[in-house]
Amino acid sequence: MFKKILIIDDDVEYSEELSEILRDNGHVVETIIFNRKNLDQFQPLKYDVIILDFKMPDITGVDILNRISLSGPRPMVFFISGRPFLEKLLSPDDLLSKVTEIIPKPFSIAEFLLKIDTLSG
Amino acid sequence: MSIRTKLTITFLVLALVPVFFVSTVTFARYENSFREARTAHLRHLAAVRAERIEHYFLDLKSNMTISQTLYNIRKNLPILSDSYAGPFSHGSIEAKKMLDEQLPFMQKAWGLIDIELFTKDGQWVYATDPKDYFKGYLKPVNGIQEKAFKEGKNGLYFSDIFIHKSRLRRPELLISAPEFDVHGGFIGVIVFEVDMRPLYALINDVTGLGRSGEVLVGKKLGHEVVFLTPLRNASNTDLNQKISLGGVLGGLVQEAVQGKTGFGKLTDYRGKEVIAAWQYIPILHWGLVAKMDVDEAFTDIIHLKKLVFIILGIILILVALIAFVMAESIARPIRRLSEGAKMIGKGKLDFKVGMEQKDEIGDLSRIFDKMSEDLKQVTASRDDLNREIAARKTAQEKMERVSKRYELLAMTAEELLYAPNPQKIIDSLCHNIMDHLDCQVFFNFLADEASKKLHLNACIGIFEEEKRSIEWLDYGQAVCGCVARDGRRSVVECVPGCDDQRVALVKSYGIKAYACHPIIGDDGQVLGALSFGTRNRERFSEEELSLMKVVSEQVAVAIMRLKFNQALEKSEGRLKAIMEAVPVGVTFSDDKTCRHVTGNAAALAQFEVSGQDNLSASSNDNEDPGRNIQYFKDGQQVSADQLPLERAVRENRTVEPMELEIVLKKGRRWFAMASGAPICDDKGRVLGGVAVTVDITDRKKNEEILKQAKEVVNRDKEALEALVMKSAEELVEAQVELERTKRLSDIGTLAATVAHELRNPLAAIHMASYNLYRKAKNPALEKHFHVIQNKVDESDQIINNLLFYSRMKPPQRQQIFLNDILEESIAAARSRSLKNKVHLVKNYEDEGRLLFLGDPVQLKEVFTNIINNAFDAVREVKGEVKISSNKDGPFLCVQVNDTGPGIDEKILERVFDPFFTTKAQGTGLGLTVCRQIVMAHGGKIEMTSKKDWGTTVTVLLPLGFKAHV
Repeated sequence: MFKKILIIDDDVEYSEELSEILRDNGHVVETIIFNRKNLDQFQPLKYDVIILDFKMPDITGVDILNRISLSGPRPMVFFISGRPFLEKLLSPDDLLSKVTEIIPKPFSIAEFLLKIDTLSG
Repeated sequence: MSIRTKLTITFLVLALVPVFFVSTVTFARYENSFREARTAHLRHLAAVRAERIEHYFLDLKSNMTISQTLYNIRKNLPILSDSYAGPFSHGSIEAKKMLDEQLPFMQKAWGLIDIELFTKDGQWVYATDPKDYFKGYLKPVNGIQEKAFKEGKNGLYFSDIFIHKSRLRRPELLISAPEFDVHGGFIGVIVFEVDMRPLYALINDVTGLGRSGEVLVGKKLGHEVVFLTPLRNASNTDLNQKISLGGVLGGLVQEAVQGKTGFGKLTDYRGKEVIAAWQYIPILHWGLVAKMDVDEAFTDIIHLKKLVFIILGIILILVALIAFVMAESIARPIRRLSEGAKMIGKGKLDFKVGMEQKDEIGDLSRIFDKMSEDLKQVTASRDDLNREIAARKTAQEKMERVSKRYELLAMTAEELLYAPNPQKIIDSLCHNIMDHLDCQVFFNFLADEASKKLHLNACIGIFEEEKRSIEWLDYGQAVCGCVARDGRRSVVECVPGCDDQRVALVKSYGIKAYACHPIIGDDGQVLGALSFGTRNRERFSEEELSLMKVVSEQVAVAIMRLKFNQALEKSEGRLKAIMEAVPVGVTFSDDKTCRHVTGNAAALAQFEVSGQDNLSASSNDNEDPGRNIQYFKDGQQVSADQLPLERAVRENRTVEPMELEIVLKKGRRWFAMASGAPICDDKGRVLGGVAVTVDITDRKKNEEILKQAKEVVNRDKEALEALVMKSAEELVEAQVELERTKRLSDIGTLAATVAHELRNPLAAIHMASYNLYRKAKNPALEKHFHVIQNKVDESDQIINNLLFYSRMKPPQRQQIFLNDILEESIAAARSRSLKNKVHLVKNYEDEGRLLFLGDPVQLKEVFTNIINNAFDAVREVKGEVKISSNKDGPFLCVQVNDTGPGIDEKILERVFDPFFTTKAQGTGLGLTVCRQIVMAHGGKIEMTSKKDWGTTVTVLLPLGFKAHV
């Protein structure tokens, strides 16, 4: 079954490549670069899966995570980042519990596709 | 009259009256005594002069008496006068001869001009002066001499003073007296011719009489007074000037010649006022006057008077000045104080008198300043108070308005919370609010998710038919539609004058002002719209609008509540189904004491209780079947309050799974893995608890058997070895930890940043190559794709090593052949410097290819770094690189030697320090990472170098690690 996926990453080339792979696997993909100004437009409930980077031009993945409500239905969140030791940055428990999995860059594409297909939010 | 003038006058009077009094008295006394002294002086002068004149004439008189009795004259005068024998007769010559022998001497001795002798008939016969002789011998005398002869016949006679015409116009005087013979018969007259100049000099001496003073002598003659001496101040220097007795002029002389002696202030012969003393000389019947002009006599007094006036004037000015200054010094502060009082009266409280004086007035001014300062503070605090009262009044009014609003809101809120469905919520609300807002029309639309339209939920103020026509509204249709679409408030004022199409509907109801608020749920979703309209006004106030907003928020909350309730019911049903379906036992309690515990079907089966039984372990009720269950852990009985459910509730935390042995009432014994968790409300307060129990009886049994078997085999040897290994490992780790902390701060930040920055492009490369390969669908590309994948992985591993250096992950050890690693490193180094042909000598000890337990990627990193450095060292000098490896006791030893230019001794000390580099390109981390990795393997790295001979790097790796590490 196809999923609505949002990629939030400031690396445009990376986002394009990843979204192409995901689209070819039958998913609906949107890529958005958020900053302080347009953060209000972030509507987490529109998506099944959110792929999130940590470091972006003027905000961080944690800022995005704070926008996602812990109560009620919420999307799967994959925190994919080159930054090491991300678990420590998400130390407040409610942040960590919003994240489905933390995946370091670079990662195995096949494994990742399998995760999206099998895990359900 | 000002106080200054008053004080000035007072001071002047006080100072000047005594001065005037004293000076007047002193001056009067001085003037008197001065006048007396002047007068006394004149009197003394007059007396002395008169006495001198008297003496002079008394001397002449006594001389005359001597000559009267002289024998020579008595004898010879008759001879000369007797016979008219002529002067040349013998007798006459004889007589004359005799007389000449005596009389000229007498004449000289007595200072006389001449001594003359007359016959009894008045004929001149003899003179001591030889010039006179023979001229008038026996001639009768005339003029003055005749008078002197006539008077001299009868006795001693003093003639008037006259000016002798022939003898140098000298003032002269004649004294005559009769001569008698021895029988007393009259024989002639003797005459002395006296020079009056010595006497005049005496009389006219004006010493001590100043410029105007003089002494004069007068004689009474009939009714006139004749001045006998020349007058000092008269223009006419002739003798014998006259004034008449009883006349206005010369009063003094008139007094004196009439025989009076006295002194006083009178007018003199010139009619001028003088002071004088006068004296009568009886022997000559003369009057002598010594006088001085009053003007001159009292010049000193006049001068003194002037001086006194000048001094008085100066004193007056000085006193006036001092009085003014003193008066001013008193009056000025008083004036300043009064000015201050005036200023303060006008309300200028900042005024300061500010005087530094140390006296009472200064004190007064300071007290005054303090008073004004106090007054200022009092005034200021009063102003503050007034302001505060005004502010409070405003606040109170506002508060009353707000309070009324809140009352209304509270009422609506209450109704909203208890109303069973949205329709009723809105109905109850609108009546209250509309009255308050003076609104006649009210609409409420709610979003209908199925049709994606707005549905009219409630409205007031329009007819039923109209209601039907707006029952469904599209998003963006009319005002409410727009508000629901945009999620923003919309206020339309002055509706009648508005031509907007969206307002047309509202306008048709006769509404003048219209406000529509969106109803927004807490996730930002628009639930509907709430609008109010009035036919009475054209505007809403801010307060009214905010009230509407609050009401719409309340409505939103109520609607959300309803939605949540529905969702909750749904999820509760689902949970119940799950609970019944799962094969593990789930027990839960809704109270903190855990007295009432219920469970799902599995739990009831595990504990062998029926659905109505209470599963509580802590119940004290003996009749309760549930409490007869016993729990054991590691052979010890566990009390009820140590069970997972009770602990989770009590400690408010998740209880990790624990193994329990459970003995049931009926005697069945089974093993359970039990865990517990508290049920909390949103603030973390415990409401109850849940416990999960899994039956692990079978697994437990298997484990037990396995464990017993293992123990028998490995008991002695393995245990000892493991212990030794563990402590050795701990030692190394401690050392590594020590080293790591030293480097951590240097490298940590850099490594994390580099890792992130490199991993992002690596991920992109990875993706891109994946897509490339996928799209090309060309098997020939597969090889290249895998190269990219491998290199990406390798790069990732390098980054991992960098991170490992800073974060100290222990090496991921596996069995490797060190020589293989060396070959890989050489290949990597060669690929880096393909252009340089380096002469390489390998000297491997091939005993078991040097099997070693280590992290292959880390160690490859170490040797690649070292060999790279060696290649770089010989690049310029065409040298040689020698690599050798061998087993050296408990160590593996690898040496890399180059014949490059060598390293300076000072630099050699620092080559392992982080970020130290001599190369143009390089991070300065290579050798640091090498040492870090070698030390993490428990080994050692050393570098020796000699200038111009080359450098040797030695790596020692201990062999002591076992496979299970």
